[in-house]
Amino acid sequence: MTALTCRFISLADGLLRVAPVIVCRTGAALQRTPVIHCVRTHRTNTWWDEHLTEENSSFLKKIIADEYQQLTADKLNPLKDEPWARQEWVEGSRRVGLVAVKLGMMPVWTKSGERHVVTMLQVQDCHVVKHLSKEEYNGKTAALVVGGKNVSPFHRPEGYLEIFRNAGIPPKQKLTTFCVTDNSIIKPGTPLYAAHFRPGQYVDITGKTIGKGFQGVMKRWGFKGQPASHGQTKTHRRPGSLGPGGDPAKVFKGKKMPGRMGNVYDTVYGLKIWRVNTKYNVLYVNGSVPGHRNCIVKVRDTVLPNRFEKNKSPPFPTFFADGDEELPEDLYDEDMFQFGEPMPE
Amino acid sequence: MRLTLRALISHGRVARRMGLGPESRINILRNILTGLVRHERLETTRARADEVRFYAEKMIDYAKKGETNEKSMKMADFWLTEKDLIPKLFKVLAVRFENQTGGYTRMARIPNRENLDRAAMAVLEYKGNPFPPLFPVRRVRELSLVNQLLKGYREEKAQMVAEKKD
Amino acid sequence: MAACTRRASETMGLLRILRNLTHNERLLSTSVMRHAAASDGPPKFTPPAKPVIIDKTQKEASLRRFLSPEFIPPRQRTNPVKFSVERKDMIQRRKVLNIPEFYVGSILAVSMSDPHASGNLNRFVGICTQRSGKGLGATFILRNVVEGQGVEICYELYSPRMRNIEVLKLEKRLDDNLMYLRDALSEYSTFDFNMQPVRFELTGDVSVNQLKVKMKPKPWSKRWERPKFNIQGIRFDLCLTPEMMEHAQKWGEPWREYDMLKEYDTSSLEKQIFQEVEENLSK
Repeated sequence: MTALTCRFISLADGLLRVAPVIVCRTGAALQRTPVIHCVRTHRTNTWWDEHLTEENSSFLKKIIADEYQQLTADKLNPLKDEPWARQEWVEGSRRVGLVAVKLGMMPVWTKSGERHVVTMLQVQDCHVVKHLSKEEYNGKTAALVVGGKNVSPFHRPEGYLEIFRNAGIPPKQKLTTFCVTDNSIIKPGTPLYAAHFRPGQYVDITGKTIGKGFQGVMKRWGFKGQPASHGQTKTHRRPGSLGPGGDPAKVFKGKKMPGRMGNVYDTVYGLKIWRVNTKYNVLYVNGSVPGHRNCIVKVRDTVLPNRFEKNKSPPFPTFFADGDEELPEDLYDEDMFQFGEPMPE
Repeated sequence: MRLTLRALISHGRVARRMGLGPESRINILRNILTGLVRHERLETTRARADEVRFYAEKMIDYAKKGETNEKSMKMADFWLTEKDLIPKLFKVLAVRFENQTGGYTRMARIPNRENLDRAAMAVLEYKGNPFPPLFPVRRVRELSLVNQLLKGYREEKAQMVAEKKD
Repeated sequence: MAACTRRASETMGLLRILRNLTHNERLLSTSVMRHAAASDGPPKFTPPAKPVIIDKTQKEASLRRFLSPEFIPPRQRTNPVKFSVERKDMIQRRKVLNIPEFYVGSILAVSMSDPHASGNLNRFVGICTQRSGKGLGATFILRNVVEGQGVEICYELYSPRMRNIEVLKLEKRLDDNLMYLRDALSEYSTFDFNMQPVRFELTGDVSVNQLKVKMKPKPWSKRWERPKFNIQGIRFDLCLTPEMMEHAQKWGEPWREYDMLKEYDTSSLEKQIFQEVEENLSK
């Protein structure tokens, strides 16, 4: 169904995604007074499926799925395209991270019987999409753009799909950039796996927190509020005083007040990896992670200096599944109690 | 002060709040469902139509289990306030949708109501009803350029696959 | 052929059965282990008092199919990959530790390893009041009255400190949640620590104990007479007047059992999971 909309644009408005077809024009152009033009934009709202027969649309869907599989399989084969040279890990080099999907949480026990909780993150179709050199990235380090979950190419703008077509990978739902030292750059198109991280390493995880809507000051900032009884009149969850009194005679900028909470990107630092499942590409990460179930998170090596010792000699620049080393299905941390083992004590 | 506060965040709640409370909500939905079973096409507000849709489809699933099933009969007895519709549910609607697994209803949106409230309206119907269709069925043009090109591509591919096999 | 050799090995003695036990299906509890525990594994051969032929002679179809409730995934929008990976861990754990079939209302004896206890093992006997949690964090609460003090301990089924779970008496009660035992007279929650295990069959349904419990005077920790708890196992006629019962019915929501949105049909899921678990356990 085509919808013909009328858009009021002021003279300074230059950003129009759809080229406006100026059908009716007022004669105000002749006068010098700044007048708002009324421009009739002819926007078509068809979805990709609308004018295709059923056989054609099912054929297209099948073809896309096959193409994705082929693309991922191609990338696994190192002989097809020459990969860039792999270098050794040096102290102070930063390597890429991953984009993962948060599955859920479960308990984990150490050999001494302590119970911890872990979050399970699954790495689904993670590929390196682009390499930005130092100059392009406008900083002091080079950067690698990594993409996450596979997604259908329909309902996406052309410009977005082009990026992936250049790298030869299926389009992804999320793209993130990782700052990376020059010795750990990877050719765009290489797949990244969960075995990139090993148990015992520490990671930082960034994700969009669960949106809580407009929340009061007690939930949002952790204020203590007022007592429930003993004469309090209608004041139990309010912020109380807003600052010192007459001397500044104002409320400082950034005063913690009620407002929208959540649905922002937040990072948790220094999470230990307890276990890596190479078959399903699942990382078991200590503690909790921002975001709801099935949300996309960005995982990278820790920035905390006290944990640098634990992150020594990781698979550098990443874990390649060429068949050099056969990893067991599950990699466990030394402290962790594995369920198939006999009882520890 | 209320001792138990109503949770302001409703993540994951599937049931909308309607009417005066849970009992009122179920009564409203019951009346709409009864009307739908009787007339097979109803016009209500969008939220109510969306809620009733789920219950209407579950009702048909229960009806398909058969008249002799105790649970089905209890459900039909509760949900259909006009008892003369119970045989219609089991003998007409369940038979009509014998071969389908889901999707027994269709909801179409309508311009807002003319009243002061300007409520968003929708039309809910069981598929296969005797009335004229709600919106004209778009027949896709086989002879359009895109379709013909895709058809050609499809046949070429099939040919290539057949050749590869040989 | 295989059946003959199996029968021959059974008639040999308890020691052979002990060895066979490690490969048996863990889901179905056997009374064999208890009998083995009861006798001391002595050097002198003592023939079994009762015939111990259970699994092998009877047909598979007549054995009770029990799927532990923590295997059934909750009604959420979680990726099924998470549940399958967790299930693999649970099965691995079950291969090492035998977690028998039990219900709320059965009497269990649990031994945990404890560094501060004498002999390193901590044994507790009690009635299971509730089972909660899904997946690896599944727990159950055992209740007993020790020297006049009511004690409830919450155990995690898959904790590595769990050494032994023994079912002393397998039965079901009229409710799924026996929290009201806290407000019942203490005689209903006392169980002897040295209680002998009671024999139970592996076929047919589990017996339901129709016991209706007498309560202490009100106030209770929760208003058990309200229909939302749906408690069948209390003798309300002794502690509440009919007017109080009617007053409690005000909170009854008769539409709830007809509300299709609240139903969670797990039958097909259960069958699938049961098959998967059975397969993997026998590997």
